[in-house]
This record gives sequence, structure tokens and C-alpha cells, in this order.
Amino acid sequence: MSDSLLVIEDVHKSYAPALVALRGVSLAVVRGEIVCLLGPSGCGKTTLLRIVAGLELPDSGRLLFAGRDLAAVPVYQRGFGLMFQEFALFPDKSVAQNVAFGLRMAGWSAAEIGKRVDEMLALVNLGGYGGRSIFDLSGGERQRVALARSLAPSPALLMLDEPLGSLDRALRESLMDELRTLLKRLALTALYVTHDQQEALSVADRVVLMNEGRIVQQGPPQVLYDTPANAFVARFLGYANVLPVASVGRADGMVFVQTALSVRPLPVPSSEPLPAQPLVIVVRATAMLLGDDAGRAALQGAPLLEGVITKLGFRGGHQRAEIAVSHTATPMDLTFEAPLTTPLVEGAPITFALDPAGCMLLPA
Amino acid sequence: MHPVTRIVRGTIVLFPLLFLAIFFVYPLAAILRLSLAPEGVPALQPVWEAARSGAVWRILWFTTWQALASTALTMALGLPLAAIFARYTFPGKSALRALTTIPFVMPTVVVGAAFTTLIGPTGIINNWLRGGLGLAEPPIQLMNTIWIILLAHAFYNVSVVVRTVGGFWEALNPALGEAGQVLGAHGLRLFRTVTLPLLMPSITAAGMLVFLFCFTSFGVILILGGLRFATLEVEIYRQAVNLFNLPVAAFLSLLQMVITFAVMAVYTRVQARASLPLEMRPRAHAPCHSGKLLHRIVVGALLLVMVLLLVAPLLALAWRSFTLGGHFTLDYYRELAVNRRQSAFFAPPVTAIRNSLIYASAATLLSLLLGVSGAYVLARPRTLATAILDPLFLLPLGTSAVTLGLGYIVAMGAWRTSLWLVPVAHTMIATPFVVRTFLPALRSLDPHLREAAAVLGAGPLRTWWEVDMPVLRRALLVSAAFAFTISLGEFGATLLINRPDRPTMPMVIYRALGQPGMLNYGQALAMSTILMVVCMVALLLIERFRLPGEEF
Repeated sequence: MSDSLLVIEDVHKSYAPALVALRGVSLAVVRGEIVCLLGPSGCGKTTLLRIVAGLELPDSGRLLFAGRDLAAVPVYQRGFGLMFQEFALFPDKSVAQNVAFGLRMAGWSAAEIGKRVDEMLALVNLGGYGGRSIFDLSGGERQRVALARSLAPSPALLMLDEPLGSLDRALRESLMDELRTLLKRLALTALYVTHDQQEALSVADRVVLMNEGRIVQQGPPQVLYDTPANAFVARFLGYANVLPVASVGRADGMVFVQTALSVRPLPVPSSEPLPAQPLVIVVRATAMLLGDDAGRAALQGAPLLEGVITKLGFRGGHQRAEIAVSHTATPMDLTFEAPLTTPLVEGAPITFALDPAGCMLLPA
Repeated sequence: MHPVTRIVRGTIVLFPLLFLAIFFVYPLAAILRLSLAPEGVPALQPVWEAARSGAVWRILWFTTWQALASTALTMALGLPLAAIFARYTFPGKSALRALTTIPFVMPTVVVGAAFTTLIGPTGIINNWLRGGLGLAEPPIQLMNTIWIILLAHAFYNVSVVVRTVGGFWEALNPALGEAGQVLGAHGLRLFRTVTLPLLMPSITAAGMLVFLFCFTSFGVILILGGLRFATLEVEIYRQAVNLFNLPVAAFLSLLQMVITFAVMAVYTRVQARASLPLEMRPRAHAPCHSGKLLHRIVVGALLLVMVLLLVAPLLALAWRSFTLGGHFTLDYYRELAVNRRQSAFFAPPVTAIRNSLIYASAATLLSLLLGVSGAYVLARPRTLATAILDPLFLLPLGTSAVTLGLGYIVAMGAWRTSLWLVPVAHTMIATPFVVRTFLPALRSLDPHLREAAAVLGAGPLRTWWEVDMPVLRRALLVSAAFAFTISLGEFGATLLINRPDRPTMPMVIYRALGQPGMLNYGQALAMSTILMVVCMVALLLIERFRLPGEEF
């Protein structure tokens, strides 16, 4: 890991005996990499960010930046940038004065500051906004000012704490890609905290998924999405169908999984070795087979399932069907996505099979 | 934590704790000891004797009923005015609202002098009536009667009712009234069933605050009531200074403290209820115009009464200080710089201005240091220090100035004639106001702003200067103006502990008002006018920079 810019080694932090935020987190960030810390609220991701920033001290563990131990470096000497969720813009200062703040602290001359502020405002498409009060800005504009302010002193590491969290959904989606493009163009090393999986998957080079103070899984977005490490990761990344597994058997190079869905076990592609028990089966939203496809799957051993479409929703490019599976001991629901051309009717019965390729066996 | 930071933080916590312990808790404890254990051993004999003498109970009875009567008069005037400010828009509303700040900054001696110039025996109204009607005697004889006391108390307290009840009323959601109307109530019935129950906690709270102020009234009684009337507060002063009977004074102080703290405790509860998170609306929504002619006349008349009550005495004061026999003169002001043998001052009165300014500057500086560090401690998450400091910072409000002065006489030994004790006493009285001005400002400060500044490279001091200061500058100015005027006008404690050869402006005014002779009287008026103008300037500063939502 010689080219790692930031190295976090076994960091622990608790606020009270019953309030443990971090239980031994280690992470290395490479120069120019965008790392997203993803996880539910209370998982410790913001605490980790604040520790890297120097706003809080770890109980134990080490932080190295470009090989240098950060323990003795106070927050104001680290030279990092941090963008707050609520932006924390100085209310008594204008847009330009906000952007200029870090430059003033670094001792830049007035002329240099003026030039840099103009550059930064142009960069975030706020050219000419310098004289405005921050109260005259929309939410999206404030977000840009906060970004410009943290970028202005050319931070060696940029941290973003839910930078899009206080914006509405439409604005958030348009800003995600814009933000990634900008960070990449400036070749910035960034640590990005979010609880939104879609945001993390679109912005990150590498996603670090955290839960209860630990890192659960990390990797490039595609890898994480395709091969979640366990049931928690699968659920958090948006998989709707995660079912408990009763038992597992092998035959003909396939693995057969007994669930509560059907009497006959479900075939799943073999994975060697089998993950540790207890297990869950994750069924992708695209794994529903109908008509001839279902028949073909049934010939290869997949059980035919019956159910009722309880809810049918239009989702732009596809439709989303919730199906209550019949003949199960306890009510079981599966959610699928189907092309708009598939003739589905709400309230109608449906017979289907599960595509073995769309099923994953994971530790619970 | 950096060792320097730790020292700074420790000082910020320790300084207010120590200061309050030495200059507030210790003197009050000394009073307690003097009344319950005068010789060092517990002895209830003196207390018993004082309690057996009817004098104490007569004084307590007078103190109580005059406070109740003052509260009733204040409410009778204040509640209709509160309704007008809450429900109507009219030209000059904001200017009239600003007028209601006057009593908060006007020293009692100035108000005393002002009322004598307006309705005293040789006051403007009496002179005018005598001239007009050709009477030999002044027709209005209010001086040294209960009526002038009640009137002066109304001057001081109508503002409290207008500001607290009016403010609360104005912020009530009109939808609540509309809901009542939809459900079938209207007119008086709507007021009685919907509005009044909502207002009741704030009316009760305002009434108790007014009662508390009148119960501990000192300057008004001493100056306008003359020798006939004594509240507990006045009697403490007489026993301590005129009769030098400290144990009795201490007993009276104790009695007063027990009663005021009991009322304070109830008040705090009621006030917490008055600030229930009812559905409030922003003040900006304009209430209705008064439409009917009759409405307009009633509203206009009430506002006229308010303006007369608040402004007429002060105008009379200023006018009389510039006139002699109907002609404009600056003689009274010139005389302030002259030291006459037969005058009551022993020194040119201007020296009193100098003394007052020195004391007030010192008190302002001290109360800012104390109040600001205290506010920083109180703004932090609850710890042992905040639990101790929170009530301590509010208690001085419930402790009378005379009691504090008495405590210093009893407790401070050789220090009690020290000049620095005067600004310290003023500091104790002014600090709660500083804390109350500062705390909301401090709490409004987003902690993320400090973190943002730190991340951008600002060290702790720089962060304080760049982030805290811009927000706190207004609060700093407002509380400095408050502290300065409180110190300038402070009368009760000063009268007990200040040395006669270093008189303050209120002391000089009080002495001169009690002396015969036109010149003494004129000088008192001139001095009062100067004090009034300084307080008015402070008031303008306060009104200009006060943050919304601060009340006292």
C-alpha cells in the first residue's frame, strides 16, 4: 500500500460504554480515489469522517497521511476540506467572503484571493454570485458555494458529509454525476459519506459499506452490487427478495436450496465452497421467468410457483410487480421488475419460475 | 486537548463560579447567619423579638398590598394596551413599541424627579391649574401619597405587560380563533372560551413579575412616598443605615428573600407553561386595521394614556431643568460645576458624573466578563458547573439591591468601604441581564460553523473571532448598554455601600431632592436630565441592535 495517501489503522471510538461508534476500522485511500463511506445512520461513517478531519480524536488506532502520523496535527493545520451536510455557510459573510475564508486563513494576498474566488465560483457555475448574501441562494446554489469554499484552498483531501442530503431528490440525482465529474477533473482524493446506496454507487470509485462501527464490505460499485458479501449488504444495496434458507443439498453440479417458497428445492448455480451457515437466498428483481421460459426452467428442475399480483407499479422504463406467493405456510412476498411489454394485471393470478442465474446464496 | 485550551476553558468555568461565590453567595449567607445566629451560635431570640413586634407585620402588610394594588392598576392599563398591540395596526406602532423600552433603562431617581416635576406641589400640572383657576393651593396633592407610588409603579410595569402578554397574543395562531368561530363561538364568547385560556399563563406570569418588582420597590417609595411609607426594602435600608440595627435589617432581608424566592419559583413554572410550543405564527403577519369609528376612538385614547404615562413625566423633567420662572436658562447646568458652601453636595456635582462614569465603565467591563463567560458555560451540555450556575445567574434578579448592599456591609469586613465594591455590586445586578441577552445569541450559533472554520484552517482564537464574534457583536453591544445604564442608575445597593465623598449621580439627585431651595432642586433636575439622556442613548442602541425574541 505504498501509494496510499490516507491510511486508517484499527480506529476505535466510543462516546459512552453503551455508545460505541467505531469498533476497529482500517482503510487505505489511494491518491485520486473517490471513496464512499456508505451505511445506515449510526453505523459510524460520520464519526470516521470527523476523526479524519480532526474534529474528534480516536480512542485508539492511527491515522497516516502521506506517511505522516496525524495524531499531533490539529484540525486547522491538516489542510483538508470538509463539506457539511447543512453546508455551514457563514451567515454574516457574502458568497465571495465564504469562498475566500480558507484562503485568508492560509495567508493569501487580497489580489490572489479575488482571482481564486472568481475561478472557484466559475467552476461551480456561480460566476457573478460573489456579492450575494447566502440567504438569497437556493438549496442547490448553497451546495455549490459550500463546494467552492472547500475546494478553494486546494485541499489535499476532500471530505463530504452527506453533501446532497439536504436537497430534494430530483436535484440530488442531477448533482450526483456533476459532482463526480468535477472531482475527477480536479483529480481530487475524496472521502464521501452517504446513506444513499444509489448516490454511493454513482459517485464512488470504491464503496466502503459500514454497519455497527465496522466495515462490512468494500470494493468497486459494480463488484459490490454483483457480489454482495452477506444478507445485510444485499438488503442495503436495494435487493428486495432476501429469503431465509432451511437446508442446502447438492446434485448434478447444482446446489438445491430448500426455502419456504415451495416444496421442491430451488436450483442455484454451484458456488465452492458453500458459505458458512446460516444462509439466505437473494433473488434478483429480474429473475422472474414466465410462460415458456418458466416451462424450460421447470424442465431443468426449478419449481413452478403460483401467486397473485398484489401491486403493480409503473416505474418509467419498466413495471414493478409485488407477488404474494400462494401455498406458503406464512405469507411471502416477492418483488420483480418486468419489461413494460409483459402483460401483467393487478389482482390476477400468476405462475412463474425463478431463474437460477438470478439467485445468490449468501451468509445471513 | 491542548494544555492552553484546557487552561482557558478552566478559567471560563472557574471565574464565574468563584465570583458568584464570593460576591453573592457569601454575603447572603452572612445575612442568614446574622439573623439566625448573631453571636455565632444559633439564637432565635432576636428573630422572635422582631417577629413579635407588630412593626414588622405592618410593614409586610403594606409591602404586600401596595404591590397587589400596583399590579392591579398595571394590569388594568396594560392588558387593553397589550390587546391593541397584538390585534391592530396603526401608524407609529413600531415607534410606540420602542417607547415601552424606556422603563427598562430609566433609573428610579430620574423617574422620581420626573414625577415631582409633573404632578408635585410645584409641578407643571399644578402650576398650570393654579394659574388657570386662580387657586392659592395646588389642587392635585399626590406627593407622599399611595397614589403617586401606584402611578410610578404603573410607569415601570405597564411595559412588562404590553411586551410579554402583547407579544404572546400577537404570536397566537389566528387559525385557533377562526376554528372557534367555525365551531360557533364569536365576540366575547370567543374571547372567553378560546383566546383567554390560551393567554392565561402569560397573563399570570406577567402579573407575578410585576408583583415581584413592586414588592421589592425601593427608590420610588423612598423618593415619592416620603417618610410615611416603608416597604420591606426601604425598612431594611433604614434599619441598616439610619438606625444601624443590622440584625433586624438582616431579619427583614431574610423575610423578603424567602417571599421573593417563593414567588420566583412559582413564576418560573408559570413562565415555562407560557412558552409551551403552541402553534405560533411569525410576528410579521399583520393583524387587522381597526375599522369602526368607536374602535378607533377607544384605541386612540388608550394609546394616548400610554404615551402620557411614559413620556409626559420625562418631558416635564427636561423642560423644568431648562426653565426658571418661565424663561429659558442654563443656570442649573452651570451650577453643576460650582462648589457652593450651602449646597448639599460638598463637592461640585460634576464630580458625581465622573464617579458614575468610572463606576459604570468598571461595572460594564466586569459584568461582560462575568456574563459572557457564564453564558459560555451555560450554553454547553449540562454538567455540574451548569447545574450550579444556571439558578445562580438568575437569583440576583430575585434578590433586591438593598439586600445585596446589606450583605456586603455585613460580610466584607474591611473591604466594605472599598471603592471597588460599588462596581462589583452593580456587576451582580447587571450580570443576569448580560447572561440573558447572550445565551440566546450563543445558542443560535451553529456548532458546524466553528468546525467549518477549523477545517478551513482557523485556529481556536481565529475561529472565535471570525465565527462567534460577528454573531455576538450585537449581543455584546446590547448587554453592554444594559449593564452601563443599570450601573448608572443603580440606587439601592449604592446608597448602602458607597462612600459619601464619592457620590454617584443618583445619590446626588436623591440628596438634592431632599434639600430645600430652588437651586438644589434645579440641580437635581439638571443632573436627572443628563442621566435620562445618557439612558435614552443606551435605549436607542438596545432597540437598534436587540435580537428578536429577547425579553426580560
